Amino acid sequence: MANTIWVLVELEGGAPVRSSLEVLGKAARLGRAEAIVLGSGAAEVAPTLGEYGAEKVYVHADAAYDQYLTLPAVETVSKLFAEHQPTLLLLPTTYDLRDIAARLSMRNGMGLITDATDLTIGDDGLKVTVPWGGETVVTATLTQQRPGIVLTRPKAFSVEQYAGRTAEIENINTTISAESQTIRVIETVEVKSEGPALEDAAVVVSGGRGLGKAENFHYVEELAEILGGAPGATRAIVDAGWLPYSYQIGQTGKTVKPTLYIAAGISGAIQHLAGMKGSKYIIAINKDEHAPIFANADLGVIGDAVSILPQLSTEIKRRKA
Amino acid sequence: MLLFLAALILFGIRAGQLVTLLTKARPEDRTDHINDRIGAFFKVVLGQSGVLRDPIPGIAHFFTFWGFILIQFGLLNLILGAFNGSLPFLGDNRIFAIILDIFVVLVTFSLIVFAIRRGIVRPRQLNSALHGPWDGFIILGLILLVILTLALVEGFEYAASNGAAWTPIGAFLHPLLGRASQQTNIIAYRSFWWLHMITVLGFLIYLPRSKHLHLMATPFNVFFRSYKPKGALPLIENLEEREDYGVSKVEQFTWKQLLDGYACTECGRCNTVCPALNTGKPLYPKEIILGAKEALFVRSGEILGKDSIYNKLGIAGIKADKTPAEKEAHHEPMIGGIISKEALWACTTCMACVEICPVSIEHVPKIVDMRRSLVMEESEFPQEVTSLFNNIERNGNPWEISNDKRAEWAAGLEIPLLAENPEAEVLYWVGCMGSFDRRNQQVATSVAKVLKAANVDFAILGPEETCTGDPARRIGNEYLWQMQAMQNIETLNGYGFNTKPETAKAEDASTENAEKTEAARAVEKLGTGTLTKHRTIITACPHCFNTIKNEYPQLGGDYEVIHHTVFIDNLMEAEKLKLTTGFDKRKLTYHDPCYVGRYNDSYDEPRRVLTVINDKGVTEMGRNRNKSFCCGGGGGRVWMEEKVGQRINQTRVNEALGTEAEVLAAGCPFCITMFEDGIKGVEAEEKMKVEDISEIIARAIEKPVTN
Amino acid sequence: MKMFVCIKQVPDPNTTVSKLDPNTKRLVRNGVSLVLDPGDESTISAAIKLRDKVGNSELVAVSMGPASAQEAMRRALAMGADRAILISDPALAGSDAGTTARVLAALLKKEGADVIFCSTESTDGYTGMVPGGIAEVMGIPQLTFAREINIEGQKAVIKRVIPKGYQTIESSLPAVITIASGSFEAIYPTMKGIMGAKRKPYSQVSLADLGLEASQVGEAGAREQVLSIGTAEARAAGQIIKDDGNAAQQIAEFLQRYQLL
Ligand SMILES: Cc1cc2nc3c(=O)[nH]c(=O)nc-3n(C[C@H](O)[C@H](O)[C@H](O)COP(=O)(O)OP(=O)(O)OC[C@H]3O[C@@H](n4cnc5c(N)ncnc54)[C@H](O)[C@@H]3O)c2cc1C
Ligand SMILES: Cc1cc2nc3c(=O)[nH]c(=O)nc-3n(C[C@H](O)[C@H](O)[C@H](O)COP(=O)(O)OP(=O)(O)OC[C@H]3O[C@@H](n4cnc5c(N)ncnc54)[C@H](O)[C@@H]3O)c2cc1C
Ligand code: SF4
Ligand code: SF4
Repeated sequence: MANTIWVLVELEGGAPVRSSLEVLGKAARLGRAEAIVLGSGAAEVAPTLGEYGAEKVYVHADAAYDQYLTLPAVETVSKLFAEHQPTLLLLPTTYDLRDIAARLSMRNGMGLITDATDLTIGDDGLKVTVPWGGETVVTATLTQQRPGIVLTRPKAFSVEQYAGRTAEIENINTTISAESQTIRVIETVEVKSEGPALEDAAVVVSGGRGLGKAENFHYVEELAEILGGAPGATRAIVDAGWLPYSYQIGQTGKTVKPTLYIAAGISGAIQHLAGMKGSKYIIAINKDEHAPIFANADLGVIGDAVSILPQLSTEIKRRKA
Repeated sequence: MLLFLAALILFGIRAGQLVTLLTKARPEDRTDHINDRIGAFFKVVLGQSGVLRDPIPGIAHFFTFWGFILIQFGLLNLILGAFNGSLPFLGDNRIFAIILDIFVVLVTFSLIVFAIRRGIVRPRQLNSALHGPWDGFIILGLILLVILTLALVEGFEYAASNGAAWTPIGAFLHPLLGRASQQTNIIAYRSFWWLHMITVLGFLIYLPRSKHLHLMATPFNVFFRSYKPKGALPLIENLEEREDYGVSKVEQFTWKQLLDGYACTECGRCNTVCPALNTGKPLYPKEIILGAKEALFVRSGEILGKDSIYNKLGIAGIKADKTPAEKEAHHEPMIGGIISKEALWACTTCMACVEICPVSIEHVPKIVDMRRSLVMEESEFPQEVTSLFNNIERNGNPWEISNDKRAEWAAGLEIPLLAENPEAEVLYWVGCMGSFDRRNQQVATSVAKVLKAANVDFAILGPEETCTGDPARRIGNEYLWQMQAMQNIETLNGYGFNTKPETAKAEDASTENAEKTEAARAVEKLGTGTLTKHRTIITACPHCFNTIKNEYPQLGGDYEVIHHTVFIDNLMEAEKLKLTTGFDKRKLTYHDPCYVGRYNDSYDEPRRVLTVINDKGVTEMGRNRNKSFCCGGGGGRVWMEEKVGQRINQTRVNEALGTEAEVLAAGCPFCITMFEDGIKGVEAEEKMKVEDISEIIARAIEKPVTN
Repeated sequence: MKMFVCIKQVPDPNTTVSKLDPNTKRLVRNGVSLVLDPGDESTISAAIKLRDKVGNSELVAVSMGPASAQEAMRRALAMGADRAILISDPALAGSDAGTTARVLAALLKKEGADVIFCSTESTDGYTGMVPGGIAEVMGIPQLTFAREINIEGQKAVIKRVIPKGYQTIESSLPAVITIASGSFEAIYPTMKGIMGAKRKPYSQVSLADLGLEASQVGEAGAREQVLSIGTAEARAAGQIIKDDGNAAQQIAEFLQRYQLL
């Protein structure tokens, strides 16, 4: 029997978000992919999901979901679970889907595995890969026959095209209860920013005195932007007046713990390390092979930061395209 | 007669009030070292050695001081004269009259010097935020009036007595006073006599409220000054049981700390040397002292209490506030009001202020006491410090590094751990900087090299060593310091380093179910023969050095601790370390670390070492030895951002650059960090290098080339 | 108002690399230094601030964990929580997120909580599933990723961080509120706090006290199972390369290998 994998597709401004499509592609590889789309734009989006792997789409075009997705979505999906028995609900880890997964699993007594980077369903059942604590990889499974939930790590999969596939569409016939509308959105404020805040950024690209002069700092900013990260600095160049104090990372500046930290032209004084040592991956570019920063780097590049940074930006743009 | 009595009573009340206030403060024993105290009294009070360090105002002060004392005798003589009596020996003694008059002239000149300083030169340190310049001028005016009236009294007395009452000034003035009738002369004599008396009495009454309170307080302050190690901050006892931690209200200072306020002459010398103030920080050490005094006066009514005689008389409250507006103006509470928090956090605890103060005022313990209140009572401190506290508590070092890695720097250097060589003669206390900071690991390596070259039997503690707690204590976290100190003391005593094992044992027994450390057990197995051996702890970190040597005894850890520069000097003296003299050809200058120099008076040893090794000797910076200008890192400042004014480290680096030396020799991991950073900041990397003395020596050992 | 904060003791994330025991497939807790989850420190601080602002309220720290978690509870009390309850029972070992939520919810219901604070995710397990789980079991709303919290009458109003900015949302009470990491500065305990913590009420409850059965919790109640534990692709420890013109490519490859693009 083919496995049926459900994916709850999130909408943003009337279009499906990328992370949902990535997971939908993975679901289609695992078996029969079925999508659930909720919200006022759902009817328009549903027909387009076939191309991304969905064979069937459950649609409920109700504006109540646009307010605050969690509670109404949990109610509706739970109802669907009562009628159907998919193998799995597969979700990318996002702000809302995380909340939804937690409640769904409790309401329906489902098993739940988070932070998966990969999963397979074979004869011996479900196998989920969960990297854990930097040095370990766990393979886990769900112990119940009932459907379970797997939350995947952001960017674990890429969007796939299933050209020519059209999805069967089923409208869900339900009304959302009042209990599921107890959370009210008063206002939504878009904060225009040139990127994430330094402390929250998953990627930080930092520059030090090795950049030579203030004008070269824009190579750092450019790379940070391409990687969706934030630019940071050592105290040395903050002192030199290249940047304001808010950029300073270290003992007496900000502490950051991003997934990726790129240090360009930074010697690696302990006062600087104190602010970024907890980063998951550290890449250092320094022309001095004895620079202390290399002792803390996962990848150390002995070379000229001023020429490598722009090359790297170009290279990443090329690979992303 | 009545006038005298009234004046004396008023003076008595005012002085009594001040003394009573002191009795309401915290107790503190200052009766140790009694002989030294008497000696110091002679030297500093009578000999004026403190003020004389600053020659021009110093000499003027010397004359005014002695002139004033003599005038008191003159005064007595005058009073007795009015009753036809005279002082024994002095009364009709012409020599006394001559000396007195010489001083009258000298005092007059001194007053002119003071007036010029105050009115025309106006050195910044004389300013006070707490009161206008008038106080100083009133005093000068009063003294002048005393002198003038005395001169006139003498003049008219001479005239009235037809030269019988000879005094040099009288004789000199006589012709100038004209040929008035005998009657007029007597009346004038009487009037000026009264004027002189009234001025002196007025002075007496004004005194307790003015800066010239120091006239009365200084002798006591000098007498009661501290004879404890300069570098030891006072212990807070019974941390677990008390209600308050540090000082937030002025009466929580000890009486001696408050006496400091009375004794302050407002000379502002402390301001002139303060590295924080001189780089634009809002810290005026003088205002800390005067601020505490002001706060004391403002709260005096409350402190004296309702039942005090002063309150009953309705005269308590030297500066009592009556309205909220007045309270506002007087900045209650003390911290954050009259004394700003920014000022407290700006202090590097460099001790320059204490060193220079002519009247032995102790600024640093006060500043730290107030920090203690902020940290332990309010949890208020620069935000950067939170991670420092947490890391010291959890990891035993200031960073997010596991303490297990403490000996990693020594990998491959064949340095035994004390656990492997528990009988080692010398323990090299590496400290957190030497253990974990890459730059200072190089220093640690050099120290080890030097010790090996001198065949010293030494070991390190490795993971058994944990942060001494010094930064925590200076920042005000006494609790954390005590926890760290107790842990280290247990380890060190366990290995038998205590020089007073009996006291340590007593302590041990008193601490209930004190768990034995690995170390203690190891030593137990090996027997305690080690205790009889002469064992020393050396360290390259002056902050570790100071706290282990001077502060651990407060918790039962007495050790022989030597700073590595001094130890190297000893090794050379004993010819255990033979070096090519003049090996180093570079021009170098030396920075005295505050905690080696001012805290522990080691100025010569490092210089001796450098002079042997360098054929040019040490090119001194303008501010050297006990006037050394802090690197900016002490007092926990190295863990905080320096956001206001110029950088202290750059200021010092510029001074070093002024000597045109190529090497700035240092003896402290924080100085090294601060200066290397400062050199980058002023872009002088090509011109100057910072090196620890041990690094210079290690190089000489490695390459004992001929000259 | 009765406020609760759910906290957890974890291996010090700053100095220890968390390990799993290959036999029990559980976190190794022996020989590592255990601390109050640093994320929870901010959460407690946020809760204390709110308690003081609302006034006339009590803040209780609760945790499910082994007896050693008492240390973490003391820290919470030193920071300013009013009392602490630890749910500890041998049967709880090996619980999954769902069980953790059910057990905590049982206690919170019994205590009559009005506001329940959690961190968005823990530092060791980081499933982030416990807060939502508690809310679901108790049948109350959950307001997540809060960076600002207010109580207005019988309503909770928070500023919730979202990818493109923030939204202001409100719900009725009781409610579960999770704190966005980094939004609240952790309080450093005062001496009064540290000493006072020793005198504050501290209690430990077992499963039976909550009316739960051992068979529903712990490993027995878990719906997930760890099949095997392997080592992550050895992160080429400190791989150093010299730029010979294609350093950019090599960096990009590194990024791709670890899914960092
Ligand atoms: C390798 C490994 C993999 C795992 N995988 C899964 C899995 O896929 N699915 C699963 O369900 N479980 C899994 N677990 C178990 C899970 O981590 C723990 O069961 C845990 O109880 C859930 O907590 P968390 O740390 O993930 O909580 P989170 O949901 O991340 O915690 C969020 C917040 O909830 C509160 N909270 C969490 N736990 C407690 C507690 N014990 N006491 C008080 N407050 C608390 C705190 O405020 C915390 O900050 C796994 C455990 C391991 C070791
Ligand atoms: C009290 C105090 C607090 C401090 N707090 C902080 C803090 O919070 N944060 C902080 O960052 N620092 C802090 N510092 C400063 C810290 O000690 C270092 O001085 C600083 O981090 C050095 O910055 P840097 O690496 O940019 O400069 P440098 O140390 O000068 O390093 C420049 C590096 O660039 C390399 N380089 C040169 N040219 C090139 C090139 N073309 N390509 C590639 N590499 C090149 C060099 O080899 C060198 O390693 C503090 C210092 C003190 C004293
Ligand atoms: S504290 Fe000492 S140095 Fe400073 S003003 Fe007062 S007397 Fe002078
Ligand atoms: S110790 Fe140093 S920094 Fe502090 S007040 Fe005195 S002179 Fe200034």
